[in-house]
Amino acid sequence: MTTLTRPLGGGGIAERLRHALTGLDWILVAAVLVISTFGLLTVRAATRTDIPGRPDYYFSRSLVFLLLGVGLMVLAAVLPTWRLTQLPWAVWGALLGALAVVFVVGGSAKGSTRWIELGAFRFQPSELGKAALCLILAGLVAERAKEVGSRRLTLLLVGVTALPAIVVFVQPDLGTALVYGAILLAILFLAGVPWTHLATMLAVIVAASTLVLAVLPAAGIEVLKPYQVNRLLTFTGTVDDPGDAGYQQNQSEIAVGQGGALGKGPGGATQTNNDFLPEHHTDFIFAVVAEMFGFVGAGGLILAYGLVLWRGMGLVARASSQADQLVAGGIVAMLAFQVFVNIGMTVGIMPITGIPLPFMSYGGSHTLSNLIAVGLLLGIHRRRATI
Amino acid sequence: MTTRPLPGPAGSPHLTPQLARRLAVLGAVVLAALAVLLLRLWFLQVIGGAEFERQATDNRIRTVSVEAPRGVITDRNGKELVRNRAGENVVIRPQELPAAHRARVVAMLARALKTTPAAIEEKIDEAGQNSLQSVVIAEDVGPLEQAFVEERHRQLPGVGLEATYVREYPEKVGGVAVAGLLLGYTQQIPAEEAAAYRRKGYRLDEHVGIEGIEKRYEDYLRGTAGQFRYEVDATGEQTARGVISARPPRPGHSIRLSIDLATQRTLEDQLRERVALSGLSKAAAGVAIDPQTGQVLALASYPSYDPDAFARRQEKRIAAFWRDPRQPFFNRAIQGRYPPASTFKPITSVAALETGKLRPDELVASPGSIKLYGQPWKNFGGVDLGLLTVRQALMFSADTFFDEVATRFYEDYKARGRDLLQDWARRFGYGRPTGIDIPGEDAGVLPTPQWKRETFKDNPDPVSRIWLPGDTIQMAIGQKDLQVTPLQVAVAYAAIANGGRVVTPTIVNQVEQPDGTAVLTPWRGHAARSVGVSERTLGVVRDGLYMVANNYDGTAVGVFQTLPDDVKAAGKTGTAENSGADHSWFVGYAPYYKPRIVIAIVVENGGQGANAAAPAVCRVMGAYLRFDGASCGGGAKAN
Repeated sequence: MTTLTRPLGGGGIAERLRHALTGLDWILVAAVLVISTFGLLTVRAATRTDIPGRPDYYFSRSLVFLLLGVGLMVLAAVLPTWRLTQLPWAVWGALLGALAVVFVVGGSAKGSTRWIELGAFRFQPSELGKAALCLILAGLVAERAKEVGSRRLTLLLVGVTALPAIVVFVQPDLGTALVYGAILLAILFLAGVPWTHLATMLAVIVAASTLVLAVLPAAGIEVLKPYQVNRLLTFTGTVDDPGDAGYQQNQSEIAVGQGGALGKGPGGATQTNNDFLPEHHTDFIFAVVAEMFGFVGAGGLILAYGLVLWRGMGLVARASSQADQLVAGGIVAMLAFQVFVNIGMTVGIMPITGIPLPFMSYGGSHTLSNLIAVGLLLGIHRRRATI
Repeated sequence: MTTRPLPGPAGSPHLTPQLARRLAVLGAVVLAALAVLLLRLWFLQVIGGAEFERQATDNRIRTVSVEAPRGVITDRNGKELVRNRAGENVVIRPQELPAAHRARVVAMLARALKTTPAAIEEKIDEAGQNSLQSVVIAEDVGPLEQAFVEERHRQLPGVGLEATYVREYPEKVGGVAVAGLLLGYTQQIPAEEAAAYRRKGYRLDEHVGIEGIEKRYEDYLRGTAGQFRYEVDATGEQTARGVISARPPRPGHSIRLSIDLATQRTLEDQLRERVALSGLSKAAAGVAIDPQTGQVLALASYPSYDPDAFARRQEKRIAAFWRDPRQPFFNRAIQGRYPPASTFKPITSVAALETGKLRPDELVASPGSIKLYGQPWKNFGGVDLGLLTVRQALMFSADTFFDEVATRFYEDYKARGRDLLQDWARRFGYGRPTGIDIPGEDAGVLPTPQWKRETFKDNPDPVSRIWLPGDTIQMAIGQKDLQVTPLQVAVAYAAIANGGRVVTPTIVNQVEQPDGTAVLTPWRGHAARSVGVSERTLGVVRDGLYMVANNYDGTAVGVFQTLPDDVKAAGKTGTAENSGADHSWFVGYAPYYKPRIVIAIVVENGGQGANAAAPAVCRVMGAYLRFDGASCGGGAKAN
């Protein structure tokens, strides 16, 4: 067998660039850049008074993240990332290693240890793990294409996901752990795992949730942190908490509702500007959009995400290899899950889990991670288009 | 190493039918999720927008009500009788007090304010947990409590100080606010009137007038609270946008009484002193009016509660006032019923002269004792005063003279069924309220044959219901069933002094805006009613009253004879019989030739009129007419 290291042979740099540009999914690029720019401007509008004397603190950092992210996106699109799907265990090992480093030298905020200090910035390996996991799982399935449908492969994939997910969960970062789960489910589903496996997994998840939320606490074993339980219980209406979690969600709904059809504009967004809306540049940025730009702005943003997801699903159908298909599927699931859970949280139909909104929320690691994921999609598109 | 497979020309060779189906399912799930988000967004923003906008406004707008000072009350010359002093209330804004901290904050406050957590909780609950209004927890707290709240404001979220005003009484007599009984006091709205005040837009922790002028003129005295609306951020701090609207508080109207501070002070002082001197007496009352206008110059009842005790919330003193058997809340000057005794003889005289029962110079015998209709009557001390004219009879206060005149009224009643004496008493204002502009006035009792039939209709003894000669005789000398208030007596004598006009007494001269513009002048509203008495008759009676005070034989000459010529007084003593020791009356006016003040004083159980009441009247005259009280004598000759 011959090994092709490049899909196309030869050519200088100019020619390679030409190929790169002609092979780009311009619709996907445009949609992601529009959302990212909108996110940058929203962060700017929402944070001008957050740090007295430094109106551009979050904006300038966001800008750096975005430029860095776009650079990494281009790299991911151009480099032969498909090779990584051929080295799933190496990627897996690197991910676990990075997560382990967090435990040793990690910094923490709000009671959870998530990142590694890198100069002026903090880096969360768990965020990059989302894209890595897509590559790992897709690679493992492609390697064992004949075993698809066997219990052994399904259990292997579950195990491969569960280990980093548990590490992330105990940081604790419930939201990212759930994203890992969504990626796993989507890849298993698209790989063609039998429904019985999926149904069994669902049953295990329900049983585990009951155990974690109800049975074990009753037995005196606390798996979730009190704030996590509180958030979930507040959402389900089991406890009526006027402060903290219930307060955040309530204020978020007020902000969204106050936006009305056309929005209050950056100046009239009192929920945001007067700090009634918590975490308005990170987890609740969608509520800021809704308050400032109304149904028109917020609905338009949802449609833009729809466009991104549509392009991603098109790649699942058309990718040039099974590994690419599954990577694309995993990334679609990862983005869709984050978008739905985050926006659902700000409009009060999902519990608060601390999942950022892709391309919008302030934060370096997830911006880089999500843009790299888009870069992976672009690479898949290129490989397909250049045939 | 696996080989990267070569892709097919159209689509992926790996798009199996199974993958296509599953991809469709994934697409449907994603589509459904986005649709759910859009629907929810539509529901929140387009349908619920207005409601959320209101909630957002509640979030960021604080409305603070700023108490307005209550109007001041002054005497006729603008001297303040009650005013306001600034104080601080401790308040809780329930909405800003997080539930998690509530128990701790309430416990801290209770300790500092020397109250119980339960009492504070009750006040919060009354206002409602989510009330945007602040709830007053402690009124007018001292500097220690103020410092406590200010220094610990970080530990006490939702707790603050709010400016308030407290009533203050700059003028005192014997440790009690001057004219306290007239002014009344203010307190938090009583529970039974809560609904009525709420309808008028009051907050339930506001203070309202409970008695006297404070109550009667509540609508004017109450200021209009200011309102500040400002924007806050999530921490409750004012934002850069700051005050959204500001309506400064408007102070209440001030009220200028007709009371003259010096005269009022002297009257209260004299009542207290006469009660103290008499030994038997426990209470006294008096009223001074301007006979020309009806303006009340002084009005007092002793003992009186002190409204300052309410302002300072001195619970023990307040309780003592309520317990006091002398009833310090009872305003004897307008609510006390007393037999007028000999002070009624001028009315009897007018009635007799005007109805022709007596001629001005007719001589009537006044023996030491006399038997009329089988009953014995006698003069004071059994003295035979010989033949007297009506002037002399008034001067001597000759009982048997008026007993004889009374028989003429009785004969008229028997012959023609007329109640001429009562008719004239009614014309002078007896038996009905004078119409003074403070609440609670008593009408007194003016007995008539009909009154007697009705009053005793349940009495088994039929004789008790019959109008007897003795009834007319007793009435002519102001004893037994006839009951009057000191104010009625003053009004009747004002009519004698002013040429026969019955004035309506008023205590408020005018209601003024804070800038001094009058908005209401109650005393101008009442046209005096004419008694319909001839000048000739009045002249005769006035002569008699002058002689009481100035003639060698007058009953009160010892008190008034030494007054300066320009303030010569006239008046009448009275000694009212009752179940206990006699009540001492004196009614007088001065200056005789141009009367400016009429004063009626009764000292309960004070003995003879000339002894207790007359010296007090003289000194009150002195305070108003600016002569030295030392000009007044102390003693008396007879009743």
